[in-house]
Amino acid sequence: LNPESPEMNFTLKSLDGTNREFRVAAFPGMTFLDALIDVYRTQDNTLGFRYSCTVGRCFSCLIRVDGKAVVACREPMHDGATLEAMKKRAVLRDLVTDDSSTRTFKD
Amino acid sequence: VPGIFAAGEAAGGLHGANRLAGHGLVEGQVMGALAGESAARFAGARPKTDVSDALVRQTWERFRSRVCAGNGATPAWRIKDELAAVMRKHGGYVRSQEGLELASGAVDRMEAELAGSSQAATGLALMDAIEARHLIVTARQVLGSAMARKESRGAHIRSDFSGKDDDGFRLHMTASTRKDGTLSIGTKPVGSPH
Repeated sequence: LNPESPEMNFTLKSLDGTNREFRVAAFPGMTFLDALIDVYRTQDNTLGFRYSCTVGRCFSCLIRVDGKAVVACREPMHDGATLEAMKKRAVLRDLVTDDSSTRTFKD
Repeated sequence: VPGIFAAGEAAGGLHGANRLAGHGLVEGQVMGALAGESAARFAGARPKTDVSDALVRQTWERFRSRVCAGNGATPAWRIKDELAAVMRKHGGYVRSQEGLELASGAVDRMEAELAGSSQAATGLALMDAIEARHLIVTARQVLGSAMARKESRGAHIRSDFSGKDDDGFRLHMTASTRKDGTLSIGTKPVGSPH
């Protein structure tokens, strides 16, 4: 964290190819999940992302940061990153994918 | 309610006045397996029913109109945060009549604020709105039963009532919601079937 500029930016790549830029207040130890929650709470309450355990166990917050799959709750935030939904699944909104095909029910 | 199954602490609790850290996990696993088996037996003995899209839409609209109808702008996540802070302060291990009443008043205000606010009807905002409503019900049960138990027992420590009172309170506390939505706190003897 640069104490001279306590803010960081990230880009959210959307379904239709448009990019949205967000700027959030940064703090030591901040993760990408912290940044997403900050945006949800202070800028866009419709932002689509999932999370649950916040300690890297449940993988609900699996997203791509700069093309690499990470759990957002354990990934230290850095300035200028690009966030995208996971590949190979239909994107429902923002970072939320349709995971229903991964569930199997025995009929 | 026939067909609803619950496990672990959502179904009451096995551990009595004191529950050591970690025991809830075991309880969830054991009772979860039992609840799952019971639910499978229950469902297997009944014909399949389809939930119509129309019913889903109707239920969703009814809920959405409640969650998104107010004029206020307080987001549900803020109410959840405030509720957590109040409950941490007054509803934890050490309680007093004064603190419990303070917290009850705060919960009343939060409930009114939540009911009068309009939440975004998507994703997290909707989930926060649902959870905030359930947390308020749970907080009332915690505060109401802690207020009624005028003794200290296990992890329930009343700073204004020290020591156990077996004559008065060797009982389970029960909580239910009346038709008008208010909370009713009752008791039942230890060892009675659920």
